[in-house]
Amino acid sequence: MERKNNISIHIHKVSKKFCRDIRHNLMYSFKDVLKKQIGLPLSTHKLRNKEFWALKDISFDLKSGEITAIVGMNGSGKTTLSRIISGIFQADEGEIIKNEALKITPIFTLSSGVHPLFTGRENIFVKGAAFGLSKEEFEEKVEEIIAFSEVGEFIDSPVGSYSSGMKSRLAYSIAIATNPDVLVIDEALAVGDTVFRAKCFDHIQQFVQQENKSVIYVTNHIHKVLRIANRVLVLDKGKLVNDTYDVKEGLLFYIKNCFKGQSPKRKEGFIKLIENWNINE
Amino acid sequence: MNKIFKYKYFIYQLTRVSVLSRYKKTRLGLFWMLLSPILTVITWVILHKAGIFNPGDTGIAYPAYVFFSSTLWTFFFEAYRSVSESVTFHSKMLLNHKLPYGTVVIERTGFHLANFIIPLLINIPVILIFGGSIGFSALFFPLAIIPLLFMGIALGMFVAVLKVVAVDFSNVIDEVIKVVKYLTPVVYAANADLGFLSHIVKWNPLTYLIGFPRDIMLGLGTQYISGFGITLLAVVIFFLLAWRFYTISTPLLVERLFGN
Repeated sequence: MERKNNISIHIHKVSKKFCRDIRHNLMYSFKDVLKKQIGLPLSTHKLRNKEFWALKDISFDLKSGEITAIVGMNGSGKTTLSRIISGIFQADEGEIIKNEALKITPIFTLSSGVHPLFTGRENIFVKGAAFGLSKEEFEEKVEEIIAFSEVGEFIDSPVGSYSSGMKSRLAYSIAIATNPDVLVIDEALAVGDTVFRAKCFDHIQQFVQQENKSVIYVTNHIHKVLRIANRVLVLDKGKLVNDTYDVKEGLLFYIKNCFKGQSPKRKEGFIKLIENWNINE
Repeated sequence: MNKIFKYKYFIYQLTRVSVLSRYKKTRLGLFWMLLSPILTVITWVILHKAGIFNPGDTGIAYPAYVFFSSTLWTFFFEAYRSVSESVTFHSKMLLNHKLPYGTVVIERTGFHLANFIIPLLINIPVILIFGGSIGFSALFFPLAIIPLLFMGIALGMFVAVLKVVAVDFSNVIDEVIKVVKYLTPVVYAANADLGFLSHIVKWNPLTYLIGFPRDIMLGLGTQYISGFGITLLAVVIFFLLAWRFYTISTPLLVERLFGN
């Protein structure tokens, strides 16, 4: 069945700058706060001393039905971009155009908003509420979350006693229960056991089959990208250097051009892995 | 404001967790707000008895006066302190979820109130032990402390922003507020002879914000009522300014939170 891939988020020339030096950073922040208070425009397009572009002129359309992997070395701007798309950071330049009603659920570090002294069940309410779930929505979803997380009887034990795998299972289950339009996953599935990860991947693939759903998956793991993505964006030093639906090609580009500081042998290994990858295996 | 309303369940859950985790970890948690006023009483009663210090005519037994005034001061100071931590305390949450920033201010306020209710109830017998009495006007006391609360929240919102972008500045404000305690009739009566300091006491809004509810509670009359009325108006304006400052500044803060 042919389905139209609607644009869900239009990312237009987004740039973001950061400051390398903490003292300068504080001084700039203070100035910016004062400027904003009296209604002066912030000088967003020029770099001040010690500033750099964490992201520069990023443009792409996020379409429904797609699992878009964002790959790049550490510091290439992946997490900054996903925070901007999620609405947590504001872009200095450019815009994110999307429907007001579009629901984006970001999953960054799984431990945030999880309180170790409280039971898994109590944490479902806290973390779920942070994702914007209402009391009524919880009533129908709690059991669903518990079942998906597979933590079993541990649900009534303090989360502090959970293994890291259990914690991430619970957090992932809570996030998906929010039933977002766009799910932003930033390295969050790096922990957790392989069986549960496979279940998540299956879930993600089913998720984008529904109407108007899409996933942004931020990672460095070649395997995981090959396993689930159908589009690859390569970031290098804050620039979008490749955007392709040919996942293998995108990853090869990434390994060949951006994979710095790695031994040639390791590079070779990845290239072989990508070239020989067969999704049906 | 609408957005914050959408997150009311989140605010409720977060407040619940922070209040309960405090009690899960400590048994003293419940009483420590009582500790500070009692220590103040001990210090100042000794100074008074030693003849170093003349607090003026407090209307009722001096220990009861100092005790309840200090309690109100702590109520104000803790409201300020809790709210001033709202952004830094919840930095991880704010970095990983898209939340309206007002939610954390409301949560910190709720946390403060929940922590204060029990010590406040324990206060009543202690006032009697220290030789005070509680008048009928005490029924209006819960209403009379609202402006004091809002004064603390408003100051806290200013400092919450400064805590991220201008740490030195926020430390200075912290210290200044501690000094202001002694420029407010807490350990002495409003009519005490303070020389040139009397002018500062007269213009200090906390004189009225603390004095009026204290006198209502202890049945000491309404000598502060006109000053209280004017201060009330000032608090409303100050609060609105603080809210504006906070909501305009906070979107700039989140990316600077990494250090916290």
